[in-house]
This record gives sequence, C-alpha cells and structure tokens, in this order.
Amino acid sequence: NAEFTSAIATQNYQLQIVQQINTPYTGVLEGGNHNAVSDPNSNANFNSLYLQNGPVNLLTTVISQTKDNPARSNLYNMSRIWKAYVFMVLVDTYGDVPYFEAGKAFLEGINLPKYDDQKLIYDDILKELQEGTKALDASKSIEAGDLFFKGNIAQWKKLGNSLLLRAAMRYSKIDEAKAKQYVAIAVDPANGGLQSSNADNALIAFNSTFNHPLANYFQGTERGNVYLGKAFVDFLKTTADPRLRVIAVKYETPGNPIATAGAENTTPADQEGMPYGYNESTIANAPGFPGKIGSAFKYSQINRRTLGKIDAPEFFITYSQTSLLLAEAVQRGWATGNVKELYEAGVRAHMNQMATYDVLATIPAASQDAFLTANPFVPAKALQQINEQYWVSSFLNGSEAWANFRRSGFPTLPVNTYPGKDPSVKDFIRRLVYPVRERSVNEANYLAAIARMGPDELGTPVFWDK
Amino acid sequence: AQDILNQKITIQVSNLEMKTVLTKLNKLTQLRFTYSSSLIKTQRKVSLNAVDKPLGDILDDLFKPANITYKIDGRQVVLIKNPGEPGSALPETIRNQSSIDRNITGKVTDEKGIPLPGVSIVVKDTKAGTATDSEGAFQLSVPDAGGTLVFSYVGYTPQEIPLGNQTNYDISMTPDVRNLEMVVVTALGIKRDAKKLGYSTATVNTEELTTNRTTNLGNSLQGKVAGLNVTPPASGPGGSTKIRIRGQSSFGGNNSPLIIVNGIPINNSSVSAGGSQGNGTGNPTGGSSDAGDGLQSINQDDIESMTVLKGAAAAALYGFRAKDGAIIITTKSGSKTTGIGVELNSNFQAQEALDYTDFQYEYGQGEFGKRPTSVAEAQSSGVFAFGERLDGQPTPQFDGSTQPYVAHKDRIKKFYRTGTSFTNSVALSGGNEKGNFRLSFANTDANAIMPNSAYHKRIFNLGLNYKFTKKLSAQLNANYSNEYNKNPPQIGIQDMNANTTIYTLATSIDTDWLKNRKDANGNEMPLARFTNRNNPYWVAYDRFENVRRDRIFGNTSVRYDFTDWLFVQGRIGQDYYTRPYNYNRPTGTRSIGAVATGFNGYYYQDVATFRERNIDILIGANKSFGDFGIDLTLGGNQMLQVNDNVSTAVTNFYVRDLYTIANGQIKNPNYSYGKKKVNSIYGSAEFSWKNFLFLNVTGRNDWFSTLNPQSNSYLYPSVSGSFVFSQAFNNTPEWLTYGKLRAAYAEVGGDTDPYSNNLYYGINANPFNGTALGNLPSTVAPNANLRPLKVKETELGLELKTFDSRLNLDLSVYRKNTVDEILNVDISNTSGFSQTKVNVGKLRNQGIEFLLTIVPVRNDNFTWETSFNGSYNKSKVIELAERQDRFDVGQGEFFGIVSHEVGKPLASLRGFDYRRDAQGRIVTSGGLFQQGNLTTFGSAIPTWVGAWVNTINVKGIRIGTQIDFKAGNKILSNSNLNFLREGISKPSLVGREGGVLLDGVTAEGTPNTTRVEAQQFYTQYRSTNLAAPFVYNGAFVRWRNLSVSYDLSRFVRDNTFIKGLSVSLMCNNVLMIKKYLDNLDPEAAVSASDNLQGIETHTLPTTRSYGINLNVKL
Repeated sequence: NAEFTSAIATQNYQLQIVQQINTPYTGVLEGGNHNAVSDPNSNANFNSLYLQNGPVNLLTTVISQTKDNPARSNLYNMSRIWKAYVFMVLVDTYGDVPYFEAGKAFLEGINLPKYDDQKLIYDDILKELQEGTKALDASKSIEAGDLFFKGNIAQWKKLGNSLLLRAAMRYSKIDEAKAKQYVAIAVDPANGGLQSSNADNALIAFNSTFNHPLANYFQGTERGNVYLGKAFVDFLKTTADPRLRVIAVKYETPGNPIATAGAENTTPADQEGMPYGYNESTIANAPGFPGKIGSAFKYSQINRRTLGKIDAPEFFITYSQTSLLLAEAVQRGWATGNVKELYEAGVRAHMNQMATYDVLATIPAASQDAFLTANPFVPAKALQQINEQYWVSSFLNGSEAWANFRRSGFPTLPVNTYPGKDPSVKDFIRRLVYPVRERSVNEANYLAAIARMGPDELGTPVFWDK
Repeated sequence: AQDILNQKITIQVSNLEMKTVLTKLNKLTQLRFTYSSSLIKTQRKVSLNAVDKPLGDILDDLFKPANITYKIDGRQVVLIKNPGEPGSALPETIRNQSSIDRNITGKVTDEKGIPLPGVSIVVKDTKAGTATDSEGAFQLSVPDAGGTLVFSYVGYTPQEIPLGNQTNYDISMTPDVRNLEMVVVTALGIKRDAKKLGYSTATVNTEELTTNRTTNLGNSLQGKVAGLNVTPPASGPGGSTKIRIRGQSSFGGNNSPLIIVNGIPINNSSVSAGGSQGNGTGNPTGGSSDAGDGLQSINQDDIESMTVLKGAAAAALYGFRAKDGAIIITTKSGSKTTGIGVELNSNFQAQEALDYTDFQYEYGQGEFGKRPTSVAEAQSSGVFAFGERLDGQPTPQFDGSTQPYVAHKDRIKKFYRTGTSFTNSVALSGGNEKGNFRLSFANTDANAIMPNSAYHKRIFNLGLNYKFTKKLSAQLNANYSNEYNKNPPQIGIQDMNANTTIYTLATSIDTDWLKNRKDANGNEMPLARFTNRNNPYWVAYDRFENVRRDRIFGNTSVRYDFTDWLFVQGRIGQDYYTRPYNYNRPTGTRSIGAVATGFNGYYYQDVATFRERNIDILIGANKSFGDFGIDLTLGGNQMLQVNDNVSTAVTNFYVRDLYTIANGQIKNPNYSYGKKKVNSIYGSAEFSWKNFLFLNVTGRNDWFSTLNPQSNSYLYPSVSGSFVFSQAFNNTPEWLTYGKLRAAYAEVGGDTDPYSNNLYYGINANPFNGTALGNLPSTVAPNANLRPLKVKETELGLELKTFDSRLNLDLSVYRKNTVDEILNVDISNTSGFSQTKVNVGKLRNQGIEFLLTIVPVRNDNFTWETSFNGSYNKSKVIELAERQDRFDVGQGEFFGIVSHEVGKPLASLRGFDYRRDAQGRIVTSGGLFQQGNLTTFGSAIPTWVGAWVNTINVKGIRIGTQIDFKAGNKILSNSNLNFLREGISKPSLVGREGGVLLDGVTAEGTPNTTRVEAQQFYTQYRSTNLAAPFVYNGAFVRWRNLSVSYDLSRFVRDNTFIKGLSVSLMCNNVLMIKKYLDNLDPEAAVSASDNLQGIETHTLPTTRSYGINLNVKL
C-alpha cells in the first residue's frame, strides 16, 4: 500500500513551473503560473507523503517490523528502496525535511520530529539504495503483494540501481566526484544493472475504482480551467513530435464533461499552449491570444481519453528516464556506453509508453523513426537534447521534471514575469514552502530548519541546486 | 378514612414547630395537611413520642392541646379550629350554631383553572370553616352579618374575600411567589428544598417553553437562564442546538451538558454540519447538513419541570459525565388529576426568511467590467457582478434566454418559501390514590424555508405510577419518537449548498430563472465557471437526503420504603435508536468528475444504532436528632454504551438516476462498532442544623473500560454548603424576606472514546488489481496511557429576596479549572499522524452570573415582573502540550482557523493578515497586496450573554417579551469574502472604473501607485486566503420574542365540559436591534460543534416566526 499511496496528490506547482500544464486562474488553482505562495497547493505532497496512510509512515513501520525478521528480508529491503524514492521527492521539493525521526509517532512517540539536513538525508538515501539493492535475495521469501513487480527480485534490483543513478546525477552541479562514484555503483552489472525495458517501469496502474490523482484535476470541477503550457506545446510542435497528437486536444466545450465536451480537435497544427505570467483577465493581452469559448479559453488541453484518463497509470521511475540519465552520465564521462543509442532508446521508450495510457495513444514505430530522423542526435548539443527529452519523458511526473530542470537547466524556459509574483522568486521557483500547519505545530524544528537552510521561500534553492 | 387513621407509624420529635411535624407526617404517610396559617402558631413547639401507634391517636395527641380538629378527604387532612365539641372529630361542616344564617357555595381553582381539592376556607375570626372537595367545590354556612372568607392552600397566597350578598364564590388561587420552600430536582432525581443547596441551579419556566415553542426544545432555552449560552445553527427545523453552560470546559468539540430525563441520561449527540469535504463524495459520513440532536425527541408539552444544574458541584453525582453541567427534565405524570383528564394543544407557526443583505445594485452580471455577450459567457459568470452598469438592455442568460440587464433585489424572498410548522398534541391522564398515568401523543409537521425540505416527528410519552402497598411503589416512563428529516439543507460548504449560490448570485439575475435547471441531457445547467456553485433548485429537487430515527427511551423503577426514614430504589433505563440515513449526489451534477464506466454521481446509505443502558440502585436514609438532620444517599450505576454503523457508498451507476446500492459498480461497504462500559458507586450526605445551615458532601468513583486497566479508577468528590442568614438571626430587618449564602467545590471528569489506546488497520473494501490494500483508519496516533480529564470548580453564591420578594437577586461567581484534558493534539504530519490523544492542557473559565428580578407592580389586576439575567465568562488557555503554543481544531471552507492558544481565551480565530512592513503598512506587489502573517483576531466565544425578560399580567392576559444579547466574540465571515471577490457587496464598488488603488507601499517602501482592475484586485483575497478584512464583531442585541396569552377558562368553564382554555400568540425573532456583521445575521452559525465556532460560511438565512397556540383541558 505504501507504493499505492506514493501517488502524487497534486502537481499544480510542479507542472506549471516546468511549463507543461497551465491555468490562468488564481484562487484554488494558484501556484506556479504566478510564482505565488499558495499553501493548499504547496502542502499537498508534504501531507500526502507523510500522513498515516502515506508511504513514509507505512514504510517506517514496515521497516521497523521486518528489520530483524530474516524471513521478510526482501520486504525490508524493498521498503528501504521505496522509502529512499519518497524522500528524494520530499527533499527535492522542500529541502530540509524530517527524515530520521519521521513516521515514528506510534513507534517511538515522536510527535514533533526534527528536520534533518538535506545533505545528510541524501547521503543516507545513497546508502540505503546501495545496501537495500545489494541485500535483495531471490532465494528468500518473495513478496507477491508488491504492486510494481509482484516481488520480482531482479526487477527490484534494477529499480534500486535506477534510483541510485537518479540520486547520483542530482550531484552533477555540486559534486561531480560524488556523482561519478555512485553512478559507477548504479551501472555495475554485478549489482543487478539498470532498468532495461518498459517492463521494468515502476508504475501504479489505476483503474475505475482507484483513479489517477490528477484525473479529477483534468476531468472534475476544474476541467475547463486547465490547459497545456505554451513552452511544452511549442517544443512538441517545432520538433513535429508524434506525441503531440495523443497528448493535446481542443474541445468544443471544454467546461463540459468528456461525454458532452463536443468535437475533439487533435490536429497538431491547431494546438496552442497557454503562455505563463498572465491571469484570466490579462491573458487577453497575451501575444496570439486565441479568444474564448464560453468560459473557457481556446488553448489546448490534455486529452481526457489518453493521458488525462481517470484510470491512467502513474509512472514513478521509467526505463525512458533511466536511459536518458545514463546517456548524460556517459556524455559526462561517468559511465561507458553509446550516448546516441541511449538517447534514442530513451525517446523510443517514452513513445512506446504512450500505449500504456490508451490504445488510442499508440505511436507506431514508423512515426518514431521519422521523428528521430527529423531530429537527429547532435553530440555538441547532447546535454540539451537529453534533458529536453527527459522533460518530455517526465510529463505528468512534475516532481521529477522540475528537479531535472533545476539540475540541468534544460529546457530553456522563458522567465515568468507575472506582476504580482512572490519577490523571493528571481527566475524560477526553486522549492516549495513548508505547510502553514507545520510552521504552527512544529515551530521550533521549523525555525531550526530555516536557520540552516535559508528562508522558507519559493526562491531558496535545495542543496544540489546551488 | 378509617384505614388511614388506623395505620401504625413511628414518630419521635421533641420541641419542634407544629409545621415541621406536619411536614414529617406528610413524608411518612403521604397525607397532605391543609390549614390556615393562623391556625397553627408557628412559635408553638410540640413533642411526640409514638412508636408503632395508630395515626389517629397521634393526631389526637398532636391537635387536642392546640384545640384543633380535622377532617379527612382522600389523602387530604384539613385542619380546623375545634368548635369546642369534644368527640366530634369528623364533622361534615363546622357550624357556629349561634350565627348560622345562610349557605354559600363556590368553587376554588388554581391559576390555570384546574380545581383545587382540599383548600381550607374559614370565616375570619370565627370558628366556621370547611374545605373543598375533590372537584374544588365547597359549601359553607356563614353569618348573615357579613365577614370575610379566608382561602388558604399550601403553596398559594391566602386570599381574603369580603362576604357580600351573593351565594356563589368562585375563587382562583395564585401561587405564592414568596414560597421559599421551593423544591428542586437535583442530581439522580433527588428532590431537595432550594434553600439547602450550596450551588446554583435554575428552574426553567415550562409555560414559557410551550408558549414560545420552537421545533427543537433546546432553542426555546435562549435567554432563559443566566450562564446558559444557546446557539441554534441556521440549519432548518430539524437542526441541532448548541447549549453551553458556564463556557466551554474542554478543548474538544463537544461541551454539551448532560441531559437527564426522569433520572436517566439520554443521548444528545448532534449530527451537525461542517467538517465534510468538497462535493460530499469524499466523506462517507455525509455532506454538510445538520441532521439534528437528541433533544428533538422530547415533546415540550410533556415536560413537568426542567432544572439546569449549572456547576460541577450540582452535577457532581454524575461523575465523569458532569463536566458541563446537566439539564434535568421530569416529564408529567397524572398525579394532579383524579378521574380522567384530557389536554389538547395546537400550535401553528409560520417562518419567513430574514434578509439582511445590503448588496450593490449598480453593476450587473459579468466579469472584468464586461457583461455576458453570449450564453456561454453567461454560463461562466453567474456568480460575478463585475459587469457593466445596469442599463436594462437585453443580455444573454445562462439558459439561452435574453433578459433585461436590471437589478433583482429580492433573492431571499423569492427563493426561500414561508416555512410552517404545525404541532398538535393530546394527553390523557388519570389517577386514584393507588396510582396514576399520563399518555400523550404529539405530531409535528414542519416545512423548512428551503424548498422541498421538511421535518416530521411523532412522539408518544407514557408515565405510570403505582403504589402496590404503602411501602412498595413502581414507576414507568417511556418516550417513543419517530423522526423524519427530509432534505436537511447543506450548509457551511460551497458544494451542493443552495444558500451559497443564492447569496452569491449576480445582482442582475432573477432567482426564478434558475428553475430552468437541466440541459437537454438532464444534466445540471452551468451557472458559473465555479462548477461547485450548484443550481439551488438542482440541489433542492435532484439531490435527496433522508434522515430517519426511531427512538425509544425510558426507565422503570421500583421503590421500597423500609421505614419512614429508609428506602431503596432500583432502576433500569435505556435509550435506544436506529437511524437509517441515505443521500445521493445526482448524476449530472457539474462538480462531480467523469467516471471511467457508467454514470457519475454518488449514493450512500447507512444504518446507525445506538444503545445506552443504565442500571442503578439508590439507598436513602434521613434522620434528625434535635437541631441536627442528616440525609444519606448511596448508590451504584452501570452504564453500557454500544454504537454500531453499517454503511455502503456506491458510485459509477449502471442505470441513470437509480440510486440503489445494487446499481453502483463500485461499492464501498463499511462497518464500525464501539462499546464502552463505566461502573460507578456514589454517595452523598447532607447535614442540616436548625433549618438554616446545610452541608452536603458527595463522592463518586468511576471505573472506565476505555482506559488502561492499571489506572482506570477515579474518584470525584464535592462539598457544598448553604447558610440561610435570614432565618438564622432574630433581628433580621423587615425588608429582607430571604437571604442565603452558598459555597461549593467539586471535581468531576470527562472520559474518552473507546479504542483510543490501540492501533488498528483496515482493509480497503475494493482490491487494487487483485491485491488487498490495507490502511490506517485513524489520523490520530493512539496513546495507551490516558486518564480522564478533570474539572475542578469552585463557586460562591448569594440569594436575596427583599421587600416582600419584589426585588430579588441571585448571584454566582465561579472558577472552573480543567486539567488533564484528553486532547487530540495536533502533531507534526511528518510524525505519521496529524494528531495524537494526550492528557495535557489546563484551561480556566471564570465568571459571574446574575439574575435580578424586580416586580414594580403587583396587584389583583396587574402584575409586572421584569428580570435581567446575564453572565460574563472569561476563558483562558493556561497550558497545552510541551513545546506547544497552540493547536488547531477547525478550518473554514474558504479561510479561517479555530485554534486554542496558550495565554489567550479559548477558540482563537486565526487567519492571514496583509503582508506589512515594519511600520505596519501594507506591502504591495504590482498594486496587489500579499499574504502576510497568520494572525489571531480574537475569540469566537462571547464573554457576555444575557437577556431582559418582561412578564405582564393584566386581567388574565399575559404578555411576555425578551430581549437578549451576546457580546465579546468575533466572527470570520467566509460569505463576505465571496460577496466582495464576486462583486456582490457594496465595498466592491470601489475602483470599478479605473481600477483599485490600494493604500500601501511597494517592496521598496514607496507609496503604491499601481491601479489594479477591480475584479483582479478583489479576487486576490481568495488567492491569498486573507482573513483580515472579513473579521467582524459578533455581538448583537435582539428582540427575541413577544407573546400574548389569554386564559379564557373563566368564560367556558361553567357552561361546558371544558375545564381550561387558553390562547396565545407569539412572534419569535421580532427585531434585530444591533449587529455588526455585514449582510448576514451573526447567529447564522454553521455548526453546533465548538470546532467551527465563529466561522460563518453560507448557511440558511435566519427566520422570524409568528405563531398561535391553543390549549384546551377537558
């Protein structure tokens, strides 16, 4: 269940910061488009990951109960790996967070956990991933209740290594030696190797009973108010990316539910993304404003029959992402391999991933070939191309897209100049603020954290983003 | 009569007043002694020493020396001055042979027209006299030479009537307001003389309750008792009432007093609005309607008496349940009647919604200064009035029509209908010397002001008493109610709340247009881009919600009197109900998301059952030794409470508009169960000395099943004393009729919910891709080491009656400390839980309450009584958990937090202020303000609560009126945020042309010069969750009610079989005299829970009601 509840509750900020999804509205939708503080949207992930049915609490309990039980050692080590993933998201989003004392209200009566230095958390994440992956043992009891791989140890080892690669690459800006050191461990075939196909993707396949957490955002009360971002649509359009056709749509009546939304225009040439830095009034002054359809704007939206489906899967760590990260590692000389092949494998993997959403979204191999021919890999622009594709590949995984954007600097996005923005934001939002509740309830530890990390503002970078 | 005289009794008294001896005899024999006060000289002391002697002999011993004779009529013993004829102990009528001239007849009734048997009638200064028979009639020979008749009856003012020429004298007796020996029903149903009590109690005038009737009994208590704070949420006729005595003793949400009916507690938990999420589909316990409380199951006409035990000392014998005081209700029995009596009562009321809105009617529907130019735009902006100046031009509407662009000012009147409520009750009663009964039935049908919303209830009540022998008696009381709350309105949230939409509708929309609510597909037609501003008619007619309750509570008791001073009583009582509940969220509701298969929408049903069983035993003894008296009570109780709930929620319907469990593709069944038991023993001892000094000590020990067995036993002691100084000294001044000082100290407790000390997991009802999902059902981290909380209360009081009871004062001061509070304390979410239960916290409530009664005029034709009651309560949070300065208990739908903060009064209302610089100036960015700090604006709890009550009696016409007030509290108005940000309220007119220029500074400290378009500016209040502009003073002064009743009995009684007839007219909520909250009534509260107090969010409007009441006795 810890895997299931790791789903990201909202991507309101993240998807807007990386300019993939947009909304002009303030109020409950406030966030990345206006570089403004909005507690309900910034606290959602904090709370959903930490609270009682969130992965931190459940995994902490599982770890404490299986630690000394050799019969469940695989469960123990799987839990360590997944906990590392969850804390990467938390640190990447907020910076210092409670780690060593988190999730221990019932176990140890720790009601107000201390915030830990994010560098120390990452050090422990590296250690846990390394140790946990190594200790997985196919000869021990198999945990068939695992929602990712039904307990398949080989795939779990690949997952652990792929996460280790992701964590190692986070150091590229601040500590190349450390990055290199851990990349080496992650790619070492002796340790089980990396994800090697889409079958190794870690995903939750939502269904009609348990819906994708973002589906209500795309299909529910705000369905008419959420659009694709300009940078994203423009990028896919200029590269004639076949994914645009399955992602973007213009509905005749965007405010209506899918059944009555009317004609669906998926023609790539007609798609337009909404520019950033406007609100529902000033958007009318934006260059190329397409006008309104009733209450809605004539910008493209996410296709509610494919990626925006109620029962769409949520991808946490994919072969596509892993392959692209490895391509960068090779490019930087931290690993060996063929950058071009890894790059193309990463692109193809994500295109193939589309069919997982809906058969309607299948991208034929011919289209994939055509795309790669039209947009060939250029070694001189390797880092740019790899990370631009990583951005596309992480569509709807806003946390990862945002982290990689901050780390790599790609894609180059226009700076959002909303007039009422939070003054701490210089170019882009570097982290989200802590929940107001935390500020109020856990005040002493909160103050200690910001004394160490810097002010609790949108402009304060996390440690690997200096 | 001879049986009575032959009964053998034991009585030993020495040197006591005759009156006291008669009282003792009354207790021993249940005989009532009736006499003229002049007959028994109070200074006369008598002694008796009778062991197992016939009563007749004892009476002879007692009365002969005093020259008194007597007559027995039923259980009445009428004392008459002995005419000097030895042996004629039982004369039919006493005659003074020398002056018999003529016979007179007559009838004596009480103030309500009911015949009074046993009234003593004597001719003043003569020996002639008689008493009334069981029909209240009398016959007497009187001297022709004139004279005066003296009528006297215990508890009534003696009346003197000059003898005239007529032969018929019909007299109506009036109760003696100076009656100092008032009996009060106290804890465990023990009746005590008021003067003996060392703590504050208040008896509610039951006549006022029935005259100014409300659908829920609780609402009628407003302003009636000092120290009682009654708040009815604005939630319709089936809603609950919040009652708080002496502030709120606990940080938790429920501080309701214990309700005792005929000695047994009943459940008064409220199923109140608030605290649900979004569109109501996320929370299986329902949306956000108020489905009522436990007091609703009681019929006002069945109430004989109602006593409020305010302090801990008064309620101490209830131990762990006594922390909030108690309301003791005794229902009527047939004891006053002989033969069969019939009473009919009819009450009709009409309610109109009150409109306090003061909106702008200059600009109409539209956004950003533009009116809608298409149907689609009209469907987007229905709740925005940022359009153009109203000019009457044809403008498209959401339903495809075109309407003139003009103001529509009567939204409240048009949408809300006239509510009605019609209550009829009938009661049959009867009895004889062995026993009596009363059976009643009441039917209430109330239509709410919200269309398609109604409340119905039927209540049967039965009271039986029977005396098997002199020593063994039994009693049975049972109350059955059948309640049906149809479509209780959603309040306090945005979704599915008709009130939200009605109140925020653009000023140029006529609510009648909204009746066109469905599109061609049968889905809800859009009104606004906020999909959760639902069409109010869709909410009223397409949504349904049914709350039914079948409830029976009652008890039966058996009492055995071993001797005159020792009795034992056993009792078993139960409160049991089942509460089937269902509701839907209709398919096609705009705010509900699409589903992968089938039709969207939601259906939920559950059946809750509740059972509380109390078994108790009580042993009582009383004895006096000279000037000393002692009264002991010992008892034990076992309480068992069982709750269970079976529920299923379904979504993804196969067939459209069929709301059944089977029709849902995804089903979420659930079952919950809770059981707890508390065993208790308790006792009280009362010592009295010379009838003016009293001391009462009580103790109760409870053992809880909900706590750790190693530490689950707790003792709650109390001690109280009273000193009636007006009777203690001989030289009491003439003007002082009665004076008493009282003092009390008590410790009582409060328990916790079952299973609070265990962690348990649940399994999700639906598997996930073949794998079961587990979950932790509670957000509260368990704690195995809980203790019950304790309330320690000290109170002092003074009662004065002066100038013949025309100027009376009852004053109390108290200090109530709550310690070891069991709290769901907020902990960091990063700990894995958002809350944990701990024993922490200290809270103090202290205050003063007073009742000042003045009777400026009192004569036969005209009485005017005016009284002021008031209370001032100050609370202070002294301590919370370690390292904790505050914790939050509730959150508003749009903004606002209710918190408890150390060093501040309870229930701090918090929210964001503007971002300000060091000099306090508002910091702007691009002309817009920014979110600043979380700020505490004040407490949600009024410090002052009071009322001015006037009662005037003119020749049988009784006029009652009440003005009440509350003050010292703040309100955060979520509605006013919406009114402003959507351009509805007048302040939103600022900056319509040219933009809003905010008086603030830029980040650099220079004055702001950037103008911001009006809608853009005002919507920033929502984006930043700013609370500061929507904080209001919650005080108000209200003319609560006016009633006129007229007793017509005298006109009908002689000629018909009707024994009594009275008519009354009333108006409730007559006039708002003063308030501070814009556009709304400050009493428009969302929830009866303390966790949402002070946060106002789109409730029903409050109402003014008019009613007529007819009471007939046959």
